[in-house]
Amino acid sequence: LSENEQRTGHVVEYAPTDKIFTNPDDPRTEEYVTGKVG
Amino acid sequence: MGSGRQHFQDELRGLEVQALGGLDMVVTTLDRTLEALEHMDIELASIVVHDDDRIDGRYLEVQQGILSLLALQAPVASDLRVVAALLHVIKHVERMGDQCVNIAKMLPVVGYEPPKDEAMLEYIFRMGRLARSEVEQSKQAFLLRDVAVAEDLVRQDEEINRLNRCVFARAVEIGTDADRREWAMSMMLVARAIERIGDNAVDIGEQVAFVVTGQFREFSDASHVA
Repeated sequence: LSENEQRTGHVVEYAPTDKIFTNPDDPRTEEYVTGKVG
Repeated sequence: MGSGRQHFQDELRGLEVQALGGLDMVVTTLDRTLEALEHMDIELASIVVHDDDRIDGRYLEVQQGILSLLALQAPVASDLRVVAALLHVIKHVERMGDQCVNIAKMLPVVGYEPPKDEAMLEYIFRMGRLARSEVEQSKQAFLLRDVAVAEDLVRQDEEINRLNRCVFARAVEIGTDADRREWAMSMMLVARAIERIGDNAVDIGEQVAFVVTGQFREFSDASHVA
């Protein structure tokens, strides 16, 4: 939350580092860690 | 955690400054190369050749820094794109330095008082000024993350390509004198080296678009003649 209690984002995926970087469940996670978005 | 990310951002910023500083080194080297060509200054040409070690050193520094950053920090998203783009940028810096060396090494071959053709030299110096401008503009585009400035490089590069064709045409019609023809062939290689520097600058522009958009695309497709 931002200073004025507004939601500014949300967690897409939560997992051990290895999984996040090698086999994430959410395609958005993969796109993020491989530099395609964000 | 905050200080760790700040350290990473500082390192990334430092690598960008180093890599883009390499483009300043290229501009200085290109200036010296063109001055050596204008005055047939063999000594200055020799300095260009030897000073290329500095550009090669910068390439190694940035490349090592990028490898360390990738291994230790595992950057993601736009940070990863910047790191990947900087690897391209510094490779192009190294190649542009080599093109200046190619030109500088040509000067002793053509001799102190070669049979010049002023029209051909005028084309070449115009190419040189445009290439210098492209290198500076590619740096600005990267610094500002400005795709429009990056895409504008193509416009200047088309003029360099046109002038390169003029140099070729001039060489064809230069006449039958053997010394003059030999000089013209050497100048064609000089023009070719400058033209390649322009291409390298456009490639850096393409990296700017990649950093900003996440999509790589060639600004102009050399495999399809218009």
